[in-house]
Amino acid sequence: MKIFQKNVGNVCVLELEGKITIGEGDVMMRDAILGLLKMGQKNILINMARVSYMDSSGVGELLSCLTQVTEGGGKFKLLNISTKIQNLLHIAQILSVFEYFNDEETAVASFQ
Amino acid sequence: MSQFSDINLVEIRFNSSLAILDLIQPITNKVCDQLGFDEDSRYWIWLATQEALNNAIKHGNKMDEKKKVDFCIQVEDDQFRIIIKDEGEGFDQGKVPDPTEEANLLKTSGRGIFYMRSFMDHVEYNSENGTTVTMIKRHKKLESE
Repeated sequence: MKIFQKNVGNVCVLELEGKITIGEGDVMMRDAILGLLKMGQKNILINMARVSYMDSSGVGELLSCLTQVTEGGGKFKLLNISTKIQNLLHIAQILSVFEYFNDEETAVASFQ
Repeated sequence: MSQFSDINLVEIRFNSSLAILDLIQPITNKVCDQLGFDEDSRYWIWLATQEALNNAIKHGNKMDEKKKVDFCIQVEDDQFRIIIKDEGEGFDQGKVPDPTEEANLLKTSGRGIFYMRSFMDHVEYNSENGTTVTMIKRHKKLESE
């Protein structure tokens, strides 16, 4: 998986590309989020438009990131989740745990 | 692999390494394609398969590369079957927590078997001499005939 980072105002947008699965992408995403938290970044938006596939380990990592950012006093939100990944979260009854958006402008504005 | 029979389309025995998944995925997808599963079905069948392989390698064989995992695809009548066997100690599936219970919703693990059951028509475990999981999906070609 590849991770691209950009800042939009006071929001850090991480654009993920590839798979978030056990041993591939899950640890990378966790490390990226922990790095941002260490730097004091509180507002994190994950753009998943180019995430092609995610397994239960990826789902677990998303939940772990949400918990860690929230416990650190920050906000963790998702952008452009594919229908399949929404389905994966929905059937596990955790889609509603996440705040998610379909366009970046609205997502960034929601942090203000 | 003595429990497997002539209806096996694919049999692969490999050391416990997640790297093998990149080899098994195209094989599984190709068989699913030939059986008439649509793109969505192939996606979810692979997800269930990957979860079962992850469990065999990580929880069953505990990432011990000396231990083997057997992977088998069977097609018989209207049933597409995936059978995965590890060399672990087995487990009591009755003790696997329900990840959709309120107290478990935010847990970061424990959804693999739930997803396998969600996306396949039937999932069965046998924990004698390691764990063998059999997952069944009715294949569309014969369903529609």
